[in-house]
Amino acid sequence: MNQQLAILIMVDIDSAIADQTLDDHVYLFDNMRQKSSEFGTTPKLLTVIKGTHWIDGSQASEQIINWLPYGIGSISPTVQRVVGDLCELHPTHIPKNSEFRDRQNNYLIHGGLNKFECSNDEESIPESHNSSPVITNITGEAVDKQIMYPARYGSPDLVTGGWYWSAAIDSSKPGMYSYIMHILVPRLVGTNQALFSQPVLMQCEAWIHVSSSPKVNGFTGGAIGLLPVI
Amino acid sequence: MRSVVTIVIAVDVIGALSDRTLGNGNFIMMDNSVWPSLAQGTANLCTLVQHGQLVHWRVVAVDLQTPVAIRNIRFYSVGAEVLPEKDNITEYSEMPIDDHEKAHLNFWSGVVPGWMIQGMDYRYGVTVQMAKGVNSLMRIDSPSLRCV
Repeated sequence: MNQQLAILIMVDIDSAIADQTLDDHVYLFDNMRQKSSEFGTTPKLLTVIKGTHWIDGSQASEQIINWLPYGIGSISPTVQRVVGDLCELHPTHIPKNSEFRDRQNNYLIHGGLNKFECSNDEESIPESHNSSPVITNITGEAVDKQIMYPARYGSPDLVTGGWYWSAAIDSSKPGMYSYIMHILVPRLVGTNQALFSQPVLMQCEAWIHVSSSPKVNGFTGGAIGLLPVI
Repeated sequence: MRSVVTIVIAVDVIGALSDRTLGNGNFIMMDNSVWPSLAQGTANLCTLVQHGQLVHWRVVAVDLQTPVAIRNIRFYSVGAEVLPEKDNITEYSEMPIDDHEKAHLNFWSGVVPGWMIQGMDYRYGVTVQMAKGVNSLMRIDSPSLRCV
């Protein structure tokens, strides 16, 4: 069955920031259960890619993976956001997430502001404050060996800031390959009056297991023949 | 005469699994025959073909992230009673449930044989597999081929 694969990356942001690592604080979940992806909903996701080829060896079906990062405890990504500029913050507006660009004006986090009700306790930070984590790159063995071809695509959907990562898989080289996702995890800094998201770059490793089987004719079990019309 | 006729089946997998039927517009078919096939865009497609043409079936899921594959295409004898649509094929003896893994390895093409009588509708049933499990197989028996 040809379907696009989806991998959900659920990040426990507060724990990841506290421990400065994604190990034990990330849960990976894909939709290939029926093709036996293993170790699902653990940090060690092995995604099974079942490729197919024609008799001449050429690739018969394209396997596409889509990644979707989520922050556990983040405000739901479906909440409407308005793009804003950090410099124009009104003191009573608490940024839900912020736009960050480095000196070369490269995109780091894209976000917006929302007026947010805050408790009177100066020390407490509201629970649903974090932005979503964002994938900035996918590298590793699978990419180096030209098995996986990842790229960042623009999306009209503001989930993950209008970008998402997707990859095509060359299924002609069976085997198990690892890849690394580089994820920006937002850390809240500041006081209740002025909260900012500071992105922290972390890495998460996962694997793909590629196999390829030959396509056969459903009527004959081999090559093309006459239709079994009776 | 075009040598290949392609029949594309579009399935709304979530709709089919929720409604437990391939009816209600969850399963539609279209072909590119040079002759005016009947009922294009419905599940009752009657594709007009000619002896010697290659007919190729493809299935596409409306939602890219839902799985669908053609598990079987089976022709019925002319005049045979058309079986009612089956949405739970655990008892379908020719189709072991465990073969769901192999459904995506099949491609469905065949040549129109010379013994097809022109003008007669040869009905066939399409069984689609959507993911796996006892509710994953559904069959619809309304499409047909007709030789011109």
